[in-house]
Amino acid sequence: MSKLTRGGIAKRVVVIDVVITSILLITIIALVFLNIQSTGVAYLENPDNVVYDINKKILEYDSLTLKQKIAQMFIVYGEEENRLTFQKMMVGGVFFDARPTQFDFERSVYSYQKYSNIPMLITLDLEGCRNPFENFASFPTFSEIETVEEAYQVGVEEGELMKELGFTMNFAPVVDLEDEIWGCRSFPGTPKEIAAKANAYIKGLNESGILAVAKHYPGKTLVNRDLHLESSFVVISEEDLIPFKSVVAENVPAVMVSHAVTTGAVDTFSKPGVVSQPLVSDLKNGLAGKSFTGLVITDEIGMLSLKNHYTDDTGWTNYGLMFTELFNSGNDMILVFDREPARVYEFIEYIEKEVKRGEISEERIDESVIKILEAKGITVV
Amino acid sequence: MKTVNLVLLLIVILLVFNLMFPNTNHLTGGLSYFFDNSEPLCYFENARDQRQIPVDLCCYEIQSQINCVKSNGFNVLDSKGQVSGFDWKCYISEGSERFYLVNNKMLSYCLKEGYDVKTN
Repeated sequence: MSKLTRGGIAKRVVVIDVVITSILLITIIALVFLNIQSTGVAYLENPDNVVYDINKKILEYDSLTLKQKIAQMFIVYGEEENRLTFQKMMVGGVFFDARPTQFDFERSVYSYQKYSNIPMLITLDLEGCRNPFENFASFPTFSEIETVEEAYQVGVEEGELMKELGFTMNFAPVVDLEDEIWGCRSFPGTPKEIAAKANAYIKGLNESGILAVAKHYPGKTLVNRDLHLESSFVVISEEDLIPFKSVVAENVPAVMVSHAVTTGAVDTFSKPGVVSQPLVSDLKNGLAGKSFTGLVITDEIGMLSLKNHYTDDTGWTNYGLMFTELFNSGNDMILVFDREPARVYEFIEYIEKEVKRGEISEERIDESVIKILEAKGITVV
Repeated sequence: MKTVNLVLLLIVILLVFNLMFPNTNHLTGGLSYFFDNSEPLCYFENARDQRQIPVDLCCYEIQSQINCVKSNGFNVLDSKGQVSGFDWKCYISEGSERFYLVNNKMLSYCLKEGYDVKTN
């Protein structure tokens, strides 16, 4: 009898163990599913809808969905593990930071570009003083460039290496009149000399097949300020605008707008520059006495000086409003270096929602996307 | 069987934790920032020219570096005199004359703000 009881108890314990194991296994499966779903991008489909002739570089514009058009306006941070997701989203460009070797760059750029439905802008930040190629190539800092000829030569040499590695766009030159923070990111000289060096450098990049991005409009981005403040407030003079007017007159392919809140010759009316409609509109419509047809690119939007403008005391950031203002102010491309593709996808969804609500017009999106595609050398039909 | 269930329970806990706190750097950065009473410090050195960098710009720059290594004993000399107490050196190239020096408070601030700083 006692044997039977012990046997019965043992059997019951085994049954309970099996039940617990089953419950735990089911919970694990559910949690794995929830974890995957929380990335928000697990079910992105391949963008097979896009009609693009890779040989003729012709794109049927209407084959793009609204989400894909919005994604074209993003330049994201290029990590290998996120490549497939960004390719499925069809982001417009990818940014690469430093890598240990030349081969690391070649491999990353190749895999991003090779498997994209339409080509991406492959971008970096090579300014001499900020040199992601530092492990295998060195260039003079901008502060060391004394002559226009030297600026042109540096543009050619940097451009050739970038081209060789597969890059298409460089977020340089800095045309701020002075770099008081790092001391090496801007050209020395008078505003006119700076403008001449910037144009020569841009010409050098251009001849190597690299799109230059003059930054950071409207200037005074690199001036000393309170080290603990997360925003900068500066007064822009007519002198600050001289290099920008000059590079725009010479058809620089793109201009990057800063987050600084400005007054004076350019007034952002207490808003960061990138979300100021008057600032972007002035840049596009008549800074150099003619329309600027190049791309207007934001500085990285994760920077605290912009983010904090939309963050309340509880720490909540109103991204919906931030993106509406970023798009409606007229920026063509948004730099977002969030390492989570799910966040980038969330941003795309925010904008899609705002377009559907009528807060952002689809024409505004189309205007920028067509410019971006054309900058990539694509014919849009 | 009990061992198997314990392992499975541990996996459940880890998955729940990952679901609730997908970015642990953010969490640990926030905690160490909270308990550290010092001032965040960030200096950029270029060919022995040392300059203090504002906190928000510093985070953006140090996440662009290939690595940040623990490095006690670094001092810098600026207009206010000698500044010491740097805990990390961040660089693209190990032997480069261009690098950033930051203290723990600065690093934890950047992690708290969600910057992806690579520490060795």
